[in-house]
Amino acid sequence: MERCELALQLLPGRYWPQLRELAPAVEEYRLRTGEPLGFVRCGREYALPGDAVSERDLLRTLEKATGASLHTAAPALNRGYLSVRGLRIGVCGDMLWRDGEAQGFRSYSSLALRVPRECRGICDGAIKSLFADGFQNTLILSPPGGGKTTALRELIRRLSDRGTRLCVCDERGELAASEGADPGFDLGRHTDVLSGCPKAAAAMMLLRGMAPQVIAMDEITQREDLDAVREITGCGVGLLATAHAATVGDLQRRPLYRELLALGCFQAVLVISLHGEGREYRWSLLPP
Amino acid sequence: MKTAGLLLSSVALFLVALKTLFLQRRQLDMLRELCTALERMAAELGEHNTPLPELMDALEREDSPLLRPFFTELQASLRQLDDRSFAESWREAVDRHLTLPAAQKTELYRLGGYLGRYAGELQKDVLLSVQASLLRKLKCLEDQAPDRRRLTVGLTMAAISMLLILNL
Repeated sequence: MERCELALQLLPGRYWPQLRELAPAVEEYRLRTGEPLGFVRCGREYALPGDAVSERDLLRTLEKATGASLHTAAPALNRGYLSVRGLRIGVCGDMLWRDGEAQGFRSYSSLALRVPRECRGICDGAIKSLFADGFQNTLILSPPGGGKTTALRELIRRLSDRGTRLCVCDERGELAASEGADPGFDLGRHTDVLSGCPKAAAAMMLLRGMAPQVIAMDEITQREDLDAVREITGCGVGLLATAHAATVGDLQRRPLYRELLALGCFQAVLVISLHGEGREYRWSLLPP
Repeated sequence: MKTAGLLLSSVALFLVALKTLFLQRRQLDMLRELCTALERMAAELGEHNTPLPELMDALEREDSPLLRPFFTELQASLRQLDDRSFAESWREAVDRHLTLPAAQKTELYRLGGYLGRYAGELQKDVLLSVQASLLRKLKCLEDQAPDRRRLTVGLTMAAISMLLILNL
């Protein structure tokens, strides 16, 4: 089943007729109790006219996503999201927190359903620059919802198909969107994917076991990820990663990313910016 | 003609009594199978975190002929992507397939609201509490069974005797 169709099926049935035509271009659905259903296209959120979403709708969506087995998704839900065949569902509500650990949700108030897509050829120009002078460790930047993961997926595929032995740390299962052993997205002929494992731990396993030439990881967000970056580049392995930032200047304003840049591990950045209904991809070298 | 009518009435009364006894027996058997199934569900959910589709599949294949249609319907409902929640499907399946006293049905409706929604441990606790309530009812019905059987047979015999006396 196509991912956009799967996402549609997870939503309450009364919205299907209105959404069916819009679905192929929707990047994300937002369900908030008491509000109309929202959908995101090219980074902008629109409201679907009609009934407001109820908590029952949120519960049913989660039931459909987990085969009415929310208990099996508890570890992911306690981190605030769950992955379903490549779709990522972010969850908000009244969380039960005990002894410093999440115990589950008492009630649900919002869901954000992201629909990943494969967009071949989206950043061809940037890819040419990236490969022009041998591989450069590259950091992909954009604000949330800007298409970092989609661009990273495309870079991985292109690099891998050129013969680079590439390993992917796919902590949330979004990059490969595998279903069991079947890869959901084409990540190239020479790609190995380790999913469901925290990035830092995954990077160490891949370095030890898979002899990668390049390691790719999505969303550097915490200090442990920095340690992984240091280990990877310290071993002479190439790196592709993404970070939430609109520009390099934006990156330098944040302590964690300032530290990341100071490591000097990345030689280039690919900045994605949204322009109306389209996206612009600009690749540039970082100053040494 | 009178004798034929008498004979037919007696046979009808006898069949009603037979059906009552059968239903009483069936209710006991169903409660027994249900208690076993709930215990299995508690173990699977509490200790192995088994997903509900897998659990329903396993329960459907268990040797419990009275509950098989119930679990078959639930398994089918789990494959549906309509807007009925699992709790609603559970309630409908209880109404359609389980011959139980009203209080026990209410307990089962309540259980449906927990299944699949909360942590395995919590589901296990609720399952075991519902099972305990069903076991109490089962014990009570088992204790009353000989009396109820005697009462049914006695009433039937009395009714047939009355018919005979009035018509002969």
